[in-house]
Amino acid sequence: MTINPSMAAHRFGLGAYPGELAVLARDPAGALWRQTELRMPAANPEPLRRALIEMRAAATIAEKPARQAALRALFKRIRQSDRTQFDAAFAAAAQSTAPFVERLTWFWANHFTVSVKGKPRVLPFAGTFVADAIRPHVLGRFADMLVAVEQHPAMLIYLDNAVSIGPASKAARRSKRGLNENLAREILELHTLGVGSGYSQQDVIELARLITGWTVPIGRRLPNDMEPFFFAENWHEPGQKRVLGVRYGEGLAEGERALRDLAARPRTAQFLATKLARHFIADDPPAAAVDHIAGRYRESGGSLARMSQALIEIAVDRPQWLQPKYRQPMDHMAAIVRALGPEVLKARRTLPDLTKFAQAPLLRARLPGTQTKRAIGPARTL
Amino acid sequence: MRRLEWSIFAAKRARISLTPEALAESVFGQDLTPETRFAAAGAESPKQALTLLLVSPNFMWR
Repeated sequence: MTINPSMAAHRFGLGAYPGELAVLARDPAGALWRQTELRMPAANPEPLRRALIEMRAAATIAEKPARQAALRALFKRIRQSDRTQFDAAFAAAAQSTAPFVERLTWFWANHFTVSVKGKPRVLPFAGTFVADAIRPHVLGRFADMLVAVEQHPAMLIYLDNAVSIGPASKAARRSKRGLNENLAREILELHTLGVGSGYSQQDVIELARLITGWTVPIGRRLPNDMEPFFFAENWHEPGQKRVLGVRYGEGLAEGERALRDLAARPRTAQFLATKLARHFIADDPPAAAVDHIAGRYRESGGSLARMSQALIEIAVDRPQWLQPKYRQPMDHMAAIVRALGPEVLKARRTLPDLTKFAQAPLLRARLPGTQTKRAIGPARTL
Repeated sequence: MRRLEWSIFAAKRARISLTPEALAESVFGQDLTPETRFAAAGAESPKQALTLLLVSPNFMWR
């Protein structure tokens, strides 16, 4: 048994180019399966380091008017360059030779959305978010993706953890800032267990305390050559914490352990499986489909490749579970580019509108798998 | 409406050698619906046919 080539191309991939179905027809399920066995390239740390250097150059100017002008100029330049690179990056993604992996990358980028709206300081770091934190792990372990995402400057700034200070930390004595729970809440509500899955406000606070000090080294007194993720020990909340009944101590490793424990929870498996089933199987997927996907996740220790293979297994063994899925605007664009070729994207004057239109996951960070120098990525809005 | 605008724009830019109907068959195979085939075959001009194809159910659903 196998699946219909059109389903393989359109449901699992990003559409079809003329003749693609004939190529797939030999073994559609195998063509998808082989994509899940690809080795994803590790992240290149250099672009993010350069982004930090540029950000620091503007943000550490002592005089306020000059600093604000420099930041405005930096943000404007990044916005423009993202816009001009959009079509090349999008075309490369839409024409990917591993379109199932591409769709999975879009899926996970959307799961871990970051936005620059109202937060221009995210801009310098958002451009590489997908390439740094999502794409390397899209066929790896969810726990590794989770840690990479929650330590990425774009996420730390977007959800304010970069300014969260432990109330009993050394830094709290001379700062008016305090604990910020935004990232911790989103980790539980959107990234791992899912809303209404039995965690309490106290769990949110405890997780927030565990990840105090996870920040981005932009401050004026810091040296220039630091890595873009910085564990600021004097901001970190000392002492014991307790998340969902598990005890944790202090330090960077304990926060990471808490994230890995969250990734291993059955509730997380269920939440992620439900989202994947909704994306690939049906808007209202059968419980058995969700259970099958979650089961593959649990039995493999949180392997996203195994989870992705579970989707193929369902398409092969239970094709009747697959119900029509409406394309999101960006999906529709991708299908058109794949069918007609990248020429359809060429026309600079329309790009601002296109980028707004393609609102979905990948707008403010580099699209994965592209050969372009700079590009686009996840965002609710541009 | 944005989808329609974008589809009109893309159809205008497209440089393809296939007729819209042949393209539809090639891209959707056995899943090509009669509605989409009708849209691709029945328009006044190839550009119009291509636009109709891009906003057809086959293109809107995956």
